Amino acid sequence: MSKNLKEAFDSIHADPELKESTRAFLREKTGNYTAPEPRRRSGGFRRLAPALACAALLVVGLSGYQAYFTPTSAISIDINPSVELEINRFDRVITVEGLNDDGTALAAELNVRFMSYDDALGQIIASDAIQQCLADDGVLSIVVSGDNEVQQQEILRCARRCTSGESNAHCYAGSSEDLAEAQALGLPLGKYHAYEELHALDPSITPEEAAGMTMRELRDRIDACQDGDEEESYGGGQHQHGGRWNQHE
Amino acid sequence: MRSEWEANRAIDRYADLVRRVCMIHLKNHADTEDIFQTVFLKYVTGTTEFESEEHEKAWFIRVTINACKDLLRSFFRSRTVSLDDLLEQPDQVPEDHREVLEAVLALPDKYRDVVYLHYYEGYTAPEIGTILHKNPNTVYTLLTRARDELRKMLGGEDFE
Repeated sequence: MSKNLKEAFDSIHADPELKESTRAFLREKTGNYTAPEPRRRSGGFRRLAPALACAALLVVGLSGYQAYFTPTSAISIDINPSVELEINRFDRVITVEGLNDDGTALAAELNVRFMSYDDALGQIIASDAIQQCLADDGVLSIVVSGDNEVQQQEILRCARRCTSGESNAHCYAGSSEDLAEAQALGLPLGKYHAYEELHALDPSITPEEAAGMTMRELRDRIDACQDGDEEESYGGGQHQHGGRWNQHE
Repeated sequence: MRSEWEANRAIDRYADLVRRVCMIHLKNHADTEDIFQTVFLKYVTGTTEFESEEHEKAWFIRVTINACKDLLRSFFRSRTVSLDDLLEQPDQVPEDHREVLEAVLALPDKYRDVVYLHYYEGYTAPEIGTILHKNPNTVYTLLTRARDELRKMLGGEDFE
């Protein structure tokens, strides 16, 4: 595989025209490498003012649209239905995604898009699917992630309020990096944290296995590993995994 | 600001690398030209001090990937892509290489970078983790899944 891929990528080159146009672009933008990007002022500006005003309005409109649909936080809700909500800077739900079959079914039933996260969380936790899982001793994990720490903390407070009556509910903050890792592995964020915790104790667990387990099952297995086998070797598992990829194929 | 000599040296050294990363992310040649200009302008006007050539190369990889992702976040980008749209001269790519490249382009986004960086640039999973700010275990998993997908698309035993 390595040889085929290497040869295939070897056939891709930047052609001379592309390099030359880039060189010309750089010379223009840097004033022939003598100054920062030249700024245009006065006379020319007056003539362009109407066009610039229209362009500014268009940019503001598009920016507003883009700002509304840009997520600033994410809420990962895992019990066995796993659902992820993306929240914008205006505290509104902009996407609702099921991360497993039960989660997809739940997401289809919910009508929380464009709601405030407060109302959305309340509706989700009160849903039959979640309430049934909690009644069956399921473990509910709500993980809030994002780059806006203030918003993240507000959402976390709300999540804790919504789950204050549930003894099996855990709400905590996650990082954007963890969210990216979780998405790369195809795991909801809460389940990803549980997987990482279990993997540290039992390196044989795979992301695929974790994806098929409920939060309760993951939690029970973590507890079993912590209570049980003192001869478990964590270091051996990791080196074995690393060994497969340290050589070029 | 870096000098013209440094800019030309960087273009000679990294143009193919930037071109290949663009190919696995972007939808057409016009976008590739945009990204080229963006990445090399950042290099010329940037202040990052590189500790080594490897550090500089990793910078180009990281900046190009980020620039491609920023461009793709635009709402008005087409979601379809063909190899012909991406290449200036599609006829110059041999047919069996086209099949392999199309298979890579058919992979989900999250697999393409790790496939390119491991199988072409020769980085190990921990090195890829450092460049892409990912956990090495995640990189291992992505590489395994990507390899399985490529084998399915290109034929298992024959694909070596």
